[in-house]
Amino acid sequence: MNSGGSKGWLLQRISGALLFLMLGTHFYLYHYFMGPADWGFQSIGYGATDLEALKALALADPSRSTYYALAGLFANPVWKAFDIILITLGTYHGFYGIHSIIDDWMTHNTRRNLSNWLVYIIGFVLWVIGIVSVISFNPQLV
Amino acid sequence: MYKVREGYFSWILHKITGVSIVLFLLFHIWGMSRMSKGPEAFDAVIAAYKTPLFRAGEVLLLGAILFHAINGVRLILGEFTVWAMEKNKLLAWLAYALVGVLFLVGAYFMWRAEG
Ligand code: HEM
Repeated sequence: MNSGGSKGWLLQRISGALLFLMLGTHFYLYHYFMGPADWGFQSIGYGATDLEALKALALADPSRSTYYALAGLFANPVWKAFDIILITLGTYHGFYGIHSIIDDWMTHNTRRNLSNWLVYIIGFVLWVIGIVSVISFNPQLV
Repeated sequence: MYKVREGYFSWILHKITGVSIVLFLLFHIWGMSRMSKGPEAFDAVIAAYKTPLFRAGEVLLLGAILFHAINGVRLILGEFTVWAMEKNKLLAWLAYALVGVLFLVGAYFMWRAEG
């Protein structure tokens, strides 16, 4: 197995272990801090200078509170960087994994190479879309 | 290397869950790209996520991620430490138990949370 050689094999383990830690943090942030714990994220969104303004906006319009919570989180470049790294590791690990499966199961050379290229291209495009979404996130606060 | 795996079941399920999570990632990043375009777009995506179909999908996703993550750590441990390689069978059953318990608890809270 693993036509990518031992370096690809090792990177799959390293990215898997990092994803384990980072996904835990990701779920905690997006499903707990931004949900039930409401404004608990304030303590980690220290990069934002306008947290009080965000909080006032959220109180004025509770239906938008998740949006303002995200704006507060992303006001801190550390959390933007965290998401960029997470997207990078996730797309790398996931699409390298698909590539391994293709190499294991597809015996026909041309078909296998074509499938691998297709997988790489889809993975790369997805990575770009993800990175652009995070970087360009611009809370339009009135 | 195949020896480290607790049977065919874990091996095939690791692949099925891995591919499923990649499919979700496609969907998730597409959602992110829409959500990043201002509050109205954000609300529209969140509203879709709160429909029963999406919520059921999220529960399935929880199961897939729990299995893949916990089984993945077991695989890594078994490949890098002699201790985990020797205790592989026990660790595999511990992993199944952990996945099962976390899934039931997680699914309960996810389903109970108001849409
Ligand atoms: C949560 C932490 C994760 C850990 C610990 C982990 C661990 C692993 C490991 C060790 C492998 C290699 C298995 C083998 O060679 O047999 C693997 C394969 C794979 N992973 Fe992950 N992974 C994680 C998250 C993810 C995520 C988020 C995705 C999807 C984006 C993903 C998709 C895949 C795929 C498609 C494979 C190839 C299936 C296979 O060859 O068995 N994994 N993972």
